[in-house]
Amino acid sequence: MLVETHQRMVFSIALRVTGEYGVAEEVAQDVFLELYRGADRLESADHVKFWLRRVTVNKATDSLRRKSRRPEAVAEEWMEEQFVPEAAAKLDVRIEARLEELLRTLPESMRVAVILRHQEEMLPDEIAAMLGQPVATVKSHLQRGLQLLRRKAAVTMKEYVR
Amino acid sequence: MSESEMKTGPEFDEVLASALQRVDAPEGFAARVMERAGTETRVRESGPGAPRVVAGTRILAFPRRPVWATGAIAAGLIVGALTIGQVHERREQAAQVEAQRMQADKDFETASRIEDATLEHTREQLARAGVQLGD
Repeated sequence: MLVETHQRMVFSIALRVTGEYGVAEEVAQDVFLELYRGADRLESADHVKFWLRRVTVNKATDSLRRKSRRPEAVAEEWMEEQFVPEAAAKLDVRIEARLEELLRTLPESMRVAVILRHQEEMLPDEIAAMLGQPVATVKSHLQRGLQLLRRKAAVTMKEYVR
Repeated sequence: MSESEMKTGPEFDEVLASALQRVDAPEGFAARVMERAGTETRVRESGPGAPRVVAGTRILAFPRRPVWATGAIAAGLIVGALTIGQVHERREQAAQVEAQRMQADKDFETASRIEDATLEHTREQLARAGVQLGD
C-alpha cells in the first residue's frame, strides 16, 4: 500500500519543514488524500516518490505561510534564550534534537534544501528539478543553509560538537 | 571561517546526517488516512446539492445527484425505451396476424365457393349424360 510504503518519508519531510508534530501529520494526511484523488495520473514508483516529495514540500511550506510564523524571529528568541546563564544548565539535551531545532530556525528555502539534501539524500540537480529552481539557486541555498547551521551550532553547542 | 566553525567540520556533517534520519509516522497514521479517504468518497457520492470540496477549497458546483439515483434513472430510461418498443412491436405483430387470419378466411370462402360451383357443374354434366348421383 502506498501510504505504508511512503508514510515515513512524507511525515519526516512535513515534520522537518513545519517543525510541529500535529501540523506535520495534517500535512502528510492531505498529501496522501491528494495522491488518492489523482493516483491514476502517476505512472511509476519513481514518479510517485517524486510527486510525494514535491507535494509534501509545497503543502508544508503553505502551512508555514498560513501560520505566518517567521523562523528567523523564532531563531533570534531561541538564541537569546540559550545565552542566559540559567539556560546553560539545560544544554544536556541531545545534540541531534538541538540540531533539529536549529534547522527549524533556518529560512524556508534553505531549510527545504538542507532537508532534501541531507534527509532525502537527493542531489542538487534533483532538488532543483523537483522545486522548479535553477541548480545554482539550490546550491546557494544549501551552502548558505549549512553555513548558518554550522555557525549557530558552533556558538550554541561548542561543548558538544568538536 | 572561525576556529570554532572549523572544529565543527567533520563531526557536524555526521551529527547532521544523524539528526535528519527519517522518523516514523504517528501510530495509526495509515488508518486515519484511509478513514479520511473513505469519508471523502462517501461525501462525494452521497451529497446531493452539496458543494464539492477539492484540495481544501470549496468550489461551486451544480447540485449533484447521488450515484444510485443516476443509475436508477438510466435503468428506468432503458427499461422504458425497451417496454415502449416491445409494446409497439407486439401491436404490429398482432395486427399482422389478424390481417393474415382475415385473408385466410377470405381465401377459404373463395375456395369453398369455387369448389361448390365446380361440384355443381360436374353434377350437371353427369346428369346430362344420364348419370344420377345421390345427395
